[in-house]
Amino acid sequence: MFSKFSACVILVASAAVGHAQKGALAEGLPEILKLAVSRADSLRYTGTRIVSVRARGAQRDTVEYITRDGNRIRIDFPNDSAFAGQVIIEDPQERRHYLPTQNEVRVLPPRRGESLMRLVASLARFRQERKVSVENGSVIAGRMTRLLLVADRRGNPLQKLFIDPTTGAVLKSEVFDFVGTSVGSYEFKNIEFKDRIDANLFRVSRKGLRTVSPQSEAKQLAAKFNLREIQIPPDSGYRLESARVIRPEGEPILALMYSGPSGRLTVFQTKTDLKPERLSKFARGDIATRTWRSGGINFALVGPKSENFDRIADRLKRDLGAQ
Amino acid sequence: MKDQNQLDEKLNSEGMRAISEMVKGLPDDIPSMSWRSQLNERILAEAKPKKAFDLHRWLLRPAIGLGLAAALALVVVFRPIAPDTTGSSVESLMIATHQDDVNYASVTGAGLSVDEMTEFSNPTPVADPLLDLDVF
Repeated sequence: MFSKFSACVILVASAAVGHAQKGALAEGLPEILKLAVSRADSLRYTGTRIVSVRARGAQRDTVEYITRDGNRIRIDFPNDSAFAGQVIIEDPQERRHYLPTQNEVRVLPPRRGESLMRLVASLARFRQERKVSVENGSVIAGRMTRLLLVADRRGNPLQKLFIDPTTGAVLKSEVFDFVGTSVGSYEFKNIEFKDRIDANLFRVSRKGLRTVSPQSEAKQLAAKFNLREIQIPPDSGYRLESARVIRPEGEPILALMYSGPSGRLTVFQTKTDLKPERLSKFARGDIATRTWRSGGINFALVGPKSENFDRIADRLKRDLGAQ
Repeated sequence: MKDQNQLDEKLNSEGMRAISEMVKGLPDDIPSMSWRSQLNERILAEAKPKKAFDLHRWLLRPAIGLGLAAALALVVVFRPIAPDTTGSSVESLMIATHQDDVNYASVTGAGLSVDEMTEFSNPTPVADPLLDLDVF
């Protein structure tokens, strides 16, 4: 009983703090962005969006069917899609990705609210280094939009958001790299706002499903490649989102991607020698890097510059007994 | 003493005296002054280039050699580290991996991440369970 009461108190307090933080961060931001932030948890709609990313030299376009009820979202895929049958359901606690062919569900931290809040936090933090402008946008999914353009201080575009001024829905988003090339975007092709969404759409019941977490994957990969099983302590506010191995020259590099209050962090480990000065040379903008060595393995932490970054790097080093 | 007497007798013999007279009769072979002068001039002329050659061999050559060695040492010791802009190093791959993750997360949101697009793409379309309803 006490634990339930405590949990309620913590939840209410977190929500209040979160609301206050949002309010503080939104100060001085364009009204259209404030509208998008304030409506983010209350929109109800169904729609179809195209997600396009230019990753590792290849363009990938994916069609997603979106059903959204406030802070809950369900994503399905067309029958002719390479992802047909898969379902993603996200709520404020977790994101569950159902994979029918593997008969498994992958449980990850939620992602949806992250991008908008990260943009707001970034604008608040780098106010002097970002230019934000608002102008009339194009018609997206049959609705006239306002275009919010985020650029660096020289005017190079970083992100474009096309926001419906009536509902606050972000109908199109586009991200640019350092040379101004679009690296990814999503765009709604149709959208229908609803008064009510069936709650059953956010429940998936399938017996015998195997649950896979990024923690279990990280553990398996570390054992497979004879690397260390490490994690950023959960009390830091960071949650592991994915674990994968990249192999540049045969020697594996284990990459653990985390999301948290100051953005996204990646912890790398490899037996290949690392040059700290070269790592920091490649890091641009507000990206910080740290490297250390422990037990014949080289570690690197990459993420946005912040006090959190240094604290986490120190803690990881200490936990590993690093040199 | 006996041997000495015998030697004297042989030296004073008719044959030896004839040879002695013949040698005395040969002209003196003293080199003339003009020839000596020419020889001196030739020696002097030959000696000058030889001196210049020595200077080159013993001073200039080692100096050039030392200079080259020093320059080589400077290049090796103070060689500037060329920035690796090829983007193929482990370090650049790490930064690119992190940056891609950040960029794509801004776009994909709750949808499929780039890794999931690659990893969970179905090789063959999944049978739609609703198709079974057509049988009834």
